[in-house]
Amino acid sequence: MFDSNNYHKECSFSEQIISYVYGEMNEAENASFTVHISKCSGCAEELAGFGIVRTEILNLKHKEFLPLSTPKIQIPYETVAVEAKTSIFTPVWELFSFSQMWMKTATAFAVLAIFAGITFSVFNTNKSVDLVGMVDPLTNPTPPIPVNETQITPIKPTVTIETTKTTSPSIVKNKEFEKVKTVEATPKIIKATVRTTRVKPAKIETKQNVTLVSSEENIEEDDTLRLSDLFDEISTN
Amino acid sequence: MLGNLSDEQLVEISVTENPEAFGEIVKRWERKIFALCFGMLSREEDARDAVQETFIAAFRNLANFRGDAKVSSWLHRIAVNQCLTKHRRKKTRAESYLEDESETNQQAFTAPLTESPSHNFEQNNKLLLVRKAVSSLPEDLKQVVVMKEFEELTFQQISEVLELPLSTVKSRLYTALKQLRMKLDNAVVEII
Repeated sequence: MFDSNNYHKECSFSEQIISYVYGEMNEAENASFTVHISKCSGCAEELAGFGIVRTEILNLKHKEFLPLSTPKIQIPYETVAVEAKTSIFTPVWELFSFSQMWMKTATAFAVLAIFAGITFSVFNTNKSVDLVGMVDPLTNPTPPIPVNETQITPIKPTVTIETTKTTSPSIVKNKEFEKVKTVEATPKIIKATVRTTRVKPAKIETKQNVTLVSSEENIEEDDTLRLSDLFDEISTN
Repeated sequence: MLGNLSDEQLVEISVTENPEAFGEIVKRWERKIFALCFGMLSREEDARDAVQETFIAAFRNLANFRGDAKVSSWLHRIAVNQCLTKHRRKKTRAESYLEDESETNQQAFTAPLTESPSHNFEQNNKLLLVRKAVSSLPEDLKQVVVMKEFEELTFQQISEVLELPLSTVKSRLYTALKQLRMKLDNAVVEII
């Protein structure tokens, strides 16, 4: 709405009229615009119009505003407190700022103890997960999941995987690939959320085999357990 | 002593040491803020209320002033918001122009007769027209006109207060003057 299109288009100087009217031009601009006005009737006419308007507004100001006395501002310093924006941590800071030293120390120790306890319990939970929910795959095999029509939520594997080399030197010579990953622990059943309704096209990695890497290359180990690895392992057992 | 300090230093002192240092800020800016409020609201009483509310609101929120902008810009912004709020309230209360007119006519009758009655009448009519024309401008244009004409701020100061580019300030002022000219021309034609 308020771009340069508001200026009258006949003249490229029209944008400078407002600076000229209020005397906010440097000397060079002022001189060139003064010369321009003598030639451009559009700008001269506009300038005259603005002059009339300004005179009327200034008249209004002199007649109605200037005679008025400045209001006496009363700030009730005692009753109006300076309010700071409070955050959710404010009570905590207040506790620390007003309590005694021993109380601060005790609180700090308590916080540390709670933090250590939480860390310890989380660490232990992760360790014990291996023993929970283990099922013999021979007596209770994992049912195959219809891959094409399902969406599987990714689950972080908790099964311990050790990498051992079962490389045969002859194979290495021929630069063939070898299997470097074997799952030693019995695979646990992974809960997979199976949805019958298709929300999005299923984005499933269709990895058929276990990861194969060249033995000659120094390759970073991928510790993430893939569902396909487990199925392969189960079928070989 | 306080008179030598900058606005920003005064704010700091008001928050940390002496709240009454804010009085110096009030003293420095009350006239300018009053001019802004008067230009925006066109009524003395409303303008006085708006100025009072502006400074109280500023004092209340002094601790939240971060120093990103100048104190003067911050005060102006509070004042503009106060005026807009008052204007909105006024609209919802449906205070009509009739009230303004009757007040102005009363002023015209009570004005000292230094000139002839017909001259006084003509002058007051003219003032009423100009006041109405300024009042009827859209708020964004009115702010710029009032800041320029009543407060005599520079384009740069206006652009800082309103947080607008300099070119936008100039363009708004240009549009405002053009609209005012049209309104005044039409009013004169109607009278004739």
